Amino acid sequence: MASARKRSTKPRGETSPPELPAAEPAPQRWETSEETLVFPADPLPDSGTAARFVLPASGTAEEILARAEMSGLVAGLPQAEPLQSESGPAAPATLSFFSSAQSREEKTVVATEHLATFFLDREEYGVDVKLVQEIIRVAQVTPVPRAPEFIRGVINLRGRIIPVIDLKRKLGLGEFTEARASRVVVVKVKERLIGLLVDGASQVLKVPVSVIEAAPEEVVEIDANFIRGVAKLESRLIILIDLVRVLAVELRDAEELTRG
Amino acid sequence: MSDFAVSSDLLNIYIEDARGHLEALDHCLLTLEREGFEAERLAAVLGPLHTLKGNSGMIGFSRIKDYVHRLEDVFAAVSEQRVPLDADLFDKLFSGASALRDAVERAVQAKAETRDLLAEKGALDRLLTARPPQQALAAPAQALAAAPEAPKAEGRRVAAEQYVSARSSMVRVDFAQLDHLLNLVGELIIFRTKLHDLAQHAAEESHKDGAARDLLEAVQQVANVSSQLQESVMDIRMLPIRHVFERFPRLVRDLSHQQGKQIELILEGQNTRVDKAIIDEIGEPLVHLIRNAIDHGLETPAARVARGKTPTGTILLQAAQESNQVVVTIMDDGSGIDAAEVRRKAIARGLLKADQAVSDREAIQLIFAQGFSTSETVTEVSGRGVGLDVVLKSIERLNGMVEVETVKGVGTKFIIQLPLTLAIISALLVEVGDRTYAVPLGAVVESLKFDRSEAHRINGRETLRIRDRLVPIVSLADLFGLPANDVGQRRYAVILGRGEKRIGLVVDRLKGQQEVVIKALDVSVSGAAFAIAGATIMGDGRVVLILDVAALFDARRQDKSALRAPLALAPA
Amino acid sequence: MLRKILAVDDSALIHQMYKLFLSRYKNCKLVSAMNGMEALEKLGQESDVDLILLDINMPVMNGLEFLQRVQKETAYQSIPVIIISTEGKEEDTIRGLKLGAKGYVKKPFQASELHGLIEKVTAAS
Repeated sequence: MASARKRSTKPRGETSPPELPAAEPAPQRWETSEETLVFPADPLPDSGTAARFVLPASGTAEEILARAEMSGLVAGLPQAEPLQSESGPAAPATLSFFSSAQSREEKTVVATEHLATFFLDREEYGVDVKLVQEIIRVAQVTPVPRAPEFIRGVINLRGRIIPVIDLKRKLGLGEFTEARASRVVVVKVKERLIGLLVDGASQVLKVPVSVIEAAPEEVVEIDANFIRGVAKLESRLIILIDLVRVLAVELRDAEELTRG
Repeated sequence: MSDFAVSSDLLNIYIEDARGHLEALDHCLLTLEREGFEAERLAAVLGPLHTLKGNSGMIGFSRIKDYVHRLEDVFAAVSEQRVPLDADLFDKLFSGASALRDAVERAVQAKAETRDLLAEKGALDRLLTARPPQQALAAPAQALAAAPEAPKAEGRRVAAEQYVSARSSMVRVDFAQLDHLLNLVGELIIFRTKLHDLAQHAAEESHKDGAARDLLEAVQQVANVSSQLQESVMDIRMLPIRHVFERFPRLVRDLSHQQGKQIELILEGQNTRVDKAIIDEIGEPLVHLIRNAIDHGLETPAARVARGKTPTGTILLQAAQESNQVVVTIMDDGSGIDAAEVRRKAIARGLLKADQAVSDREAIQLIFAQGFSTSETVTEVSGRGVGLDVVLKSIERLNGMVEVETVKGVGTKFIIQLPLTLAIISALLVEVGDRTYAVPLGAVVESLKFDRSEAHRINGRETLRIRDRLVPIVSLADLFGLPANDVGQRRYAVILGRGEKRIGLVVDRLKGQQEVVIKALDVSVSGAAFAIAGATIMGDGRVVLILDVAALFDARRQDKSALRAPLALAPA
Repeated sequence: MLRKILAVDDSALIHQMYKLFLSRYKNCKLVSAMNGMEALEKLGQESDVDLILLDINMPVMNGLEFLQRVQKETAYQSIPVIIISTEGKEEDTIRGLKLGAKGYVKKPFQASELHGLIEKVTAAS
């Protein structure tokens, strides 16, 4: 869809950002799509599928509902009343805002997890791809004096200064040492941008929820709290990390931290 | 046709609402044009359009109603991506919105519709029918295309008039856009500085080369213009401090009623302009100070009269600009702060040693110390009982300073100094080992070279004699846990000042002055790091940390040995 | 007996029109709310609401949600509701009717149309 004056917001980084799933339009509060109702147990009565007819100027429930029952699934104009309101070309009343809601219902839902994976030493780890903004090479890291050892320093991300965390240290896997394949995984958690130092980027993939299990005994080095589970694919094992838990200290409220 | 008279009252309500909805429509169009398709934004404009349609219908403006209905159709089509967001669409929508505005204003003026919007409606029809490949509709599309020029031109002409005769001469700007503009200006300044350095270097290298000198001159001019640009943009962000002050009369009234005190609030200098970022942050500390004044400072009418004062107490809140600072003063004619009382409390809280000799003035500063105010001094009125230490921190976070003057029994005055703007400051670049740091120039009194032998150890602390003063010095390398530079005898000391206090910061090299754009540091860093206020980005993309001078003074006051232990936080 | 009418709509203009149309209609009082949430509050405060005129598209809580909630309250479920409809939103109106609204009238409407429907709807109850 061409849009002539759209300003490009693509990052100028070297690696292209991982594919993010297209956001579904949020239900607007003016509309009455199913999602805005508070009682999920009581779904809105269906108005009758494709029946899009034009109502007369006024009417009582008995009159109208009876007619609706009769017209059933037939699309079109069932009654003979002249159209009073529209003075222009007969706008096909198909322009209802519900078309999107209804087509959404038809999509089949298969539970998958969309992951971005990377390596720490030889092990592969994964995080929810929605949290990952981009993955970049390790550029100059400016150390911050007397910062906790997890914080390696800060980097300049296109004019924004973000902290860079030694993920291996966080997970108790030793310490990060920079190598050619090293990368910074930039994640956005709770509106904050934080960079994670990793030994190599892997890929973005969708795994069906069925292959995700609780972490087995082998993955004992890492604090169980940090792990959401493991994904067992044919030839590999991806350890799924709970970023919010791992970064709990860093994500603490501004007040809490500055009061220290 | 309708069975009611369209009264002026009705029309007034209608036009007020309508103007708001039309504004929303304009805003949406501008945003869509600037940032492209966004589902939520599109959804947000449908509500206002819907209400406008309903209202217009009810008041009898059926042509307007029909047109708005068509607009809704178009937006729905865009939302469902049946119609692309291209130049043609925006053209029609913008001129349509102007035409609509015109039609609405005229209709309200004349109390009846005077303008038909057929041409504009036709344009929208074309948008809706042109795209999907429906042969049946090709004919009407062509028919409508027959007379495109006249209505279009008319639409545009009218639009121009409308904007000119619009209600005000102001332009609404998104604050985020302004921030972005300021960022750009900031970067321009960084590069300008670099350019200037290079040009200067080139000019020095080639003394006789006219070209290099011409270059330097041209760069000076660029520097000039970019400074002006910077000032202009900063200026746009400035708002009168009235925005902050206006909620205080109510606050004072409520609090004084609650406590049975009579208090008059005088506001001065409300037109003083201050950066919006400061406006956003300064409110809270001021509220706390006012609450404190009412809670602890001002006495009840009876107590005041007993002291020979008028029963009504006064709080004066004043703002004024002084050179490149804003000074906000809060003064009350209450009971003042009792130095002896403060001393007693400080000793009780362990902030002062019983035998420590401090002047009254220094003692009073302790009210800002962390841990000074506890639940005991907090009344229900002061709310969470935020102590003055939090007020101090808030102000220092804005790169400001606060001082207090008081006379027991007479009154108290808090003086807050704030920089006019936050984002760009002048800084002195210093080097320790291979690391560069920026020291806010505002806190720098002077810088000097000295020989290591000149430093004396007095009371276990390194000191330097500067003219007639003994200034304690501290090595930045030590403070930051960096390897000490043992080579050579020459050192540089940057003398920092805070009020009457002085500290000398010892560094390896001075790298000159520069204007730097302050970039926010993520809270996980600024909260955990020591004495770092922010960061800036150099022309070459390097990140340079900006020192938090206040923290350096605080550290100096506390036991320095605490600084030697590495700050390791336990993992979560 | 029509003692009180609760009009729910987010447009100030519509409320003004209701005043015009209904202030001398059958001597009843008019109470207004700007959205479903406010309407629920008003229902709680006012004791003798006999009819509700309900707009669907409102912020905070829309008409259909309001209607759902009202239908669950024994105190309120017997109050007849007339939906104020707009063209292009036929489905909302139908849904409202299925949820228990007794009738509807489309905007723009004349006073006479509104009166006519109110007669029909209140005669039944």
